[in-house]
Amino acid sequence: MIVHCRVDGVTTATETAPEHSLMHLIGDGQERSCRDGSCLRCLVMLGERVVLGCKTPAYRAQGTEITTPNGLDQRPEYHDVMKAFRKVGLAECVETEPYLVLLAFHILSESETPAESALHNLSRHLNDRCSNREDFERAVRIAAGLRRRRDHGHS
Amino acid sequence: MGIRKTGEIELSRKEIYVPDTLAEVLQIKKRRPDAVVWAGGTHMLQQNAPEADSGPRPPVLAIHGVRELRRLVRSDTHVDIGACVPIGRLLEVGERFLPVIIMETIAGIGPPPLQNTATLGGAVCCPDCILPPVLALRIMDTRIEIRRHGNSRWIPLTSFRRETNLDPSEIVTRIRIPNRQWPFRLSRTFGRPYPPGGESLAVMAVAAVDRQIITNLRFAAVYRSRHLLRNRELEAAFVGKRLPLNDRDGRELEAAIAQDPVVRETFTPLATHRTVHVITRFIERIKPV
Repeated sequence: MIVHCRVDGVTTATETAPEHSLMHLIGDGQERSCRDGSCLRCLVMLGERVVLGCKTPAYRAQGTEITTPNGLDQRPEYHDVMKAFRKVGLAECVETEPYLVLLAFHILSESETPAESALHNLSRHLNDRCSNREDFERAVRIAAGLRRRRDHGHS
Repeated sequence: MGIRKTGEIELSRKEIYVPDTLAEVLQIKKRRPDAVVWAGGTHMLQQNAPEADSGPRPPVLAIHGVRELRRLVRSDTHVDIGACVPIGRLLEVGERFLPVIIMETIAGIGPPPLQNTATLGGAVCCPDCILPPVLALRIMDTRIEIRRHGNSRWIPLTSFRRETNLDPSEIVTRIRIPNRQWPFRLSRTFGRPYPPGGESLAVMAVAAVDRQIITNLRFAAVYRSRHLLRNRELEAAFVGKRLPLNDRDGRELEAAIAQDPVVRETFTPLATHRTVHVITRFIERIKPV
């Protein structure tokens, strides 16, 4: 099957099988996930929703846009998240930073002011030693404040 | 490859159908009963590694975009959940009308980004596997709607086995949860229930009380997401008992669970101990209201 979609703004047509995941459309370079959804390293945006690339069938991307961590810098929220990450010292590890940014995107897309319970629910899945849960939660709160300031003029 | 008509993609050796309406789904299932139904597709991706692809395989019927299967309808007596409603959406809106124990168990399905893809219908139909949300659904008398072209029926989830109850031309379309809150409830999960077969245990219990009398009690446990403990006789033995329960009741319960054939044959000593411990502690916590 050939799936037509846009990956980070570039139109692509990729031959796939039904059993292929979104990771197949993104390229071999990112085929490094655990395949059971626990490592979170395959996070991508499908349309406006953050999904696990390894657990989402490739055919679901037909006619939509996939945004990988590399394509996020076009979005205004990216700069809020990165500013917040730098402030708490999170954006140091090249392995973990991309998926932490996408996780932050996920929770910011759910709510303008993320609830504490939602933050805890998300951060409890962070297993990497480079991703401190408290720092991550603090960074998301800061990013939410920056976004509110940008959108409404107050935090 | 070429798109033959809207929503149907032809492949060189296999096909994928992406219908928009339930009528189309049932038509395709009638024409191609061998089609494998994918809701979110998360479990199927786990099972079907691309490298295993050799030779002709059945077509895929992707139902994630079917409008009728993405509806949530609430009435005075029950909530109907379409088979393709993502777990994430249930978590967003379900707090107002879904039983708390269901919310707690579906919140435990994978990390939040997975919840945008996974569905309750997929969990119900997961072959040879009882995940914690399905265990919770089973003790709440949930029913499921099964449809084929020109026919539909409702059956209790407890008697549903995909291998025997689902004709090749049928699909699960809705999940009906009775609109009832249980004042006493407990859900505990040990280990990772997914993928099935790993070392995991889920225990659920709910109870209702009228003043000092237990009016309803349900409990169940599933080990390795496969071996199910559900003893209705034992549950019934506690209905009508006056609170507080005495030590003898607790001891009888412990002995009965440990002697259950499923527990004896499939649970490890640790899983048995945990099951007994969680259920007896739950019984002790039931207080008069």
